[in-house]
Amino acid sequence: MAIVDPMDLVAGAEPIVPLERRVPLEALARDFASGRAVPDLPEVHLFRAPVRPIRVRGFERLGAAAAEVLSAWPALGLARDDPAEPVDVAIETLADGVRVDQRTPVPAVTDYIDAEGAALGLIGALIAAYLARDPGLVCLHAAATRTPRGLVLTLGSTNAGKSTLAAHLVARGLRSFGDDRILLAPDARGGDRGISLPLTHKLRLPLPDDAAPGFARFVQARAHVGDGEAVRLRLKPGEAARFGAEAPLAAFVLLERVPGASASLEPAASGQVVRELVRQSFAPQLDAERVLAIMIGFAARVPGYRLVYGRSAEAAALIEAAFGAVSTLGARDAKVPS
Amino acid sequence: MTRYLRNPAVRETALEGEIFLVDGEGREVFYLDAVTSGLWRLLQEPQTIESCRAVFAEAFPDAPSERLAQDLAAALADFEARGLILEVP
Repeated sequence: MAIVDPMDLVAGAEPIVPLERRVPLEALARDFASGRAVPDLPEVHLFRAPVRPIRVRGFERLGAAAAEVLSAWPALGLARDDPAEPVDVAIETLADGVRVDQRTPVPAVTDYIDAEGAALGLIGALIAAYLARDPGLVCLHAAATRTPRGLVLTLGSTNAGKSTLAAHLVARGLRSFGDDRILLAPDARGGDRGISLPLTHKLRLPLPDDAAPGFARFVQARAHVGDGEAVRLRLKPGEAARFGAEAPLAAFVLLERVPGASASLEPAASGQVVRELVRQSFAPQLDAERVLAIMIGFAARVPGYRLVYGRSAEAAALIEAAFGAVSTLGARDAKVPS
Repeated sequence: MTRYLRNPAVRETALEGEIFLVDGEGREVFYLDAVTSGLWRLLQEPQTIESCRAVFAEAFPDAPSERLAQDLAAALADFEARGLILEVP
């Protein structure tokens, strides 16, 4: 008898893929990490997504890097590799690297020099497949932090300091909704929401000279993978939203890091916000005109700000002051004993 | 001399003075800065590089003529490569 994972159950929909058996994938990843050889399996891995799971062939070829993906994206188990059920992504081993062959929604083949890069590429392919299943969503390259007023999304170019600022906000007691990518669900009636993709936080090293000792200890206590140039953080329970958690949008904050500048937060022009939203968007299932319309809608409904800053700690304090301190959240969320 | 005109398939959206374009295939969104916005407005009617240069020379009298011509040629080539404008007889 086929076993059906309740995670597959979508409201009003029948489970589409019966799982042949459940496999503890975290344990499997540890086996990969220990170097245990894994033969080619006539099976595909299933990852959580709306409507039906995302099917990935050759996931085991990522080896230890598979754990990086698994820490970010709930996997459901294995299913038979059925020719009648096309895979969404295929991982292939090359003589000098690893290939991520994205089959849906738009075919794209990318070769990586190592499994770590391919793991990140797979996460991108999982996002694309997720969006194909729920085409009303868009993905934004941004860090997101839950504040009492809702999600504050920080956007900026590479090196704008999104991840460091996001880590500072977590260190101050706010909850992360991801430091790199988030899904957005537009709602013209004003119910715009963000949906968490809890990818591991990545910080560039060394930490800035102005980082307080407490922040360095915060990072050290959560660092789990590093190569001297960057470190990945594994946040503690409660510090990061679970996969798929939703929260209303409070603000878009465009980051501009200027060495030596005092932190300042000013309203941004709608056109400037739209420009940055479009630049940081990822929605291969939509045409560009639709993406532009969605972003114009966001900019009309959600306040946009420009944050100029020199020190991440000061910028984090400013965001916390503007959107509510964690103590406010604690008071509001506190349960009254019955 | 080559004359250029906006590609009629391109969709334009203006927002608080900023101009966004979507190419005819719906593949990409382009943002125009202040200078390229001015060029885009000119291209409502067929223009040559020389006619564009004359307008911009009047708007930016301190800009070296040679530099202005080079920048306009580069911008028009960029517009054309992205399918935003067409060559017209």
